Amino acid sequence: MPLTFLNWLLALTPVAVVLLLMLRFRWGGARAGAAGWFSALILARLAFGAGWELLAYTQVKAVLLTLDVLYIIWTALLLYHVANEAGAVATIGQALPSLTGDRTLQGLLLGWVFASFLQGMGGFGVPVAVSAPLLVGLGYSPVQAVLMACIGHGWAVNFGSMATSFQTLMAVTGLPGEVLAPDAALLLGFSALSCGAVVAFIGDGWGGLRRTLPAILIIGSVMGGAQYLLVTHGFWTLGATLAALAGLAAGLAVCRLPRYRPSAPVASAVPSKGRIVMALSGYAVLVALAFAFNLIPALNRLVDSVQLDLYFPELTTALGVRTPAGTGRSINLFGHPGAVLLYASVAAFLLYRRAGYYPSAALRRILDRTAHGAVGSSLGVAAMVGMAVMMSHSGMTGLLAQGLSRVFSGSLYPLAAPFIGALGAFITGSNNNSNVLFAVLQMRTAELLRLSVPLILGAQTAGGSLGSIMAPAKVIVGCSTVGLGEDESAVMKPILGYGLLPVLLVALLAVLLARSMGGA
Amino acid sequence: MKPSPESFNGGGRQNRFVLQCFALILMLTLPFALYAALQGGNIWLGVLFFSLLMAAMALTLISG
Repeated sequence: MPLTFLNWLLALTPVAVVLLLMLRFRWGGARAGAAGWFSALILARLAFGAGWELLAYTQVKAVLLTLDVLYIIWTALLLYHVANEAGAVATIGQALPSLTGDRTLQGLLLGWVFASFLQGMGGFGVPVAVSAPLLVGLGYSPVQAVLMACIGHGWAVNFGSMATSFQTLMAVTGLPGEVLAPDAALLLGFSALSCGAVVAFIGDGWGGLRRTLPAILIIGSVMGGAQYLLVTHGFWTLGATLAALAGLAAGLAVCRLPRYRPSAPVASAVPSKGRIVMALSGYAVLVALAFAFNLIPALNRLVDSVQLDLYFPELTTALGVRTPAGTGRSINLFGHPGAVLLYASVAAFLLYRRAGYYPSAALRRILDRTAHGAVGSSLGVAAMVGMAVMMSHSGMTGLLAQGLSRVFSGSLYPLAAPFIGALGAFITGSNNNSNVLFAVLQMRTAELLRLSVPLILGAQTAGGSLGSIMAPAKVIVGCSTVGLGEDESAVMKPILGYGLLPVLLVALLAVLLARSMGGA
Repeated sequence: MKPSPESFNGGGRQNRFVLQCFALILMLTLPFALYAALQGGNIWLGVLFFSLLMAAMALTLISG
């Protein structure tokens, strides 16, 4: 199909429908995604020459991608509720502020490091929902608390939740994690520092930022560096989790520095060491299992032996857009990150139950909360993945990429890429959905402009990671936990200002990296 | 009257949740049936499953 402005607008329509419904009419991701799916179906059929057989096969391919992501979403949420029901999350949250007398550093430990750890383990709004009330307990206003908790974990979204968003990036682009991880980790590593600085500024202004700058530099470098090392060595599912744990360890060390040490005995109730160790044990099981599956070849071969694979024929539209034959997304039933999370959830549940941490009917509550938390977002993922696969197979995504590459010159595009990712995440409420919507588009544009594809995709997913924290859906979750249920706009305006700073930093860094690589 | 999420909030979140679960199960299972129909060359069965998939998406539009 020739690139004309009308054709480009038609190709943009499904995405525009999703954006319009979510932003203007405040529809949820599932409803807006379904509306986008129908508009993509109609346009692919009537304007882009996609036959019914092609459209049917796209939905089979889409369900494989969807299952790949949902496997992680459901089991990550399950593990979170297993730990939360046992009081493990509250114990970790109570233990942190007792380490230092500096209020800004306390705020950083909760709103930045702990929130990032929660993003690594659970995500899906959990970091904000858990950290914001704890920050209010430290004396921050509800608006400050939500802002700090939202922005603090922005850098950890991409490799958090067992790297759901990164898995999606690999799935939709077809590129291996080894190729994509370094650039994404580099951009997000610098974002860790900027997120920490913004949290300190929101908490206690320039004074707080100046006082805690050494701590931010140390902890942020440890977290960013640890994440880079992990994901460039294949441990992307544990990238944010272990990086945040390393950050916690660095935070413990920083709290011993004379300038941050408590000046008087801490009055608040501090959990016992045994209780803290027990609280962390559920997550320790996950880390141990993930390392075991990655590092023991025999175990790796055993769990990788059962895979769900489907073969697809070559698909061509009436206008000549061709998708080669091949297998769709393979799902490794027993070695998938979701399976590892499931094993860890079962082990953690048995551990906590044996320790007597569960009240009666805990299992039922855990399953109930997991299902209620995951169904809505699962529908959104399913609808948007279905829409995105239809768009790419009917040539709409390629046309959008061609148009974008004409608008932006090669040297300017790295500046725009993170903002495109952030926009997608802001609208859809998730880094994951942003990657579903825009990753292929960004990849095609990078190819057309002869830019580094991993860098542009790194900028896309880093922008998505940082943009997702400004999403109304997440803000609403945070507001509801600190008594701002009717006043989300008090948070929405400042979060757009503060939240765009780390995105801007990523954009500038992407331009510098593109130039250093000698891109267009 | 066209149903909306608001009417579900008033009438019962549980009903909405059940509808969402139903839509999700359909969306995750029907494509496999569709694949089997396409691979077997059974066009009419394929049309049926694709229509059901569209119905599941319409249900998401209503209950999501």
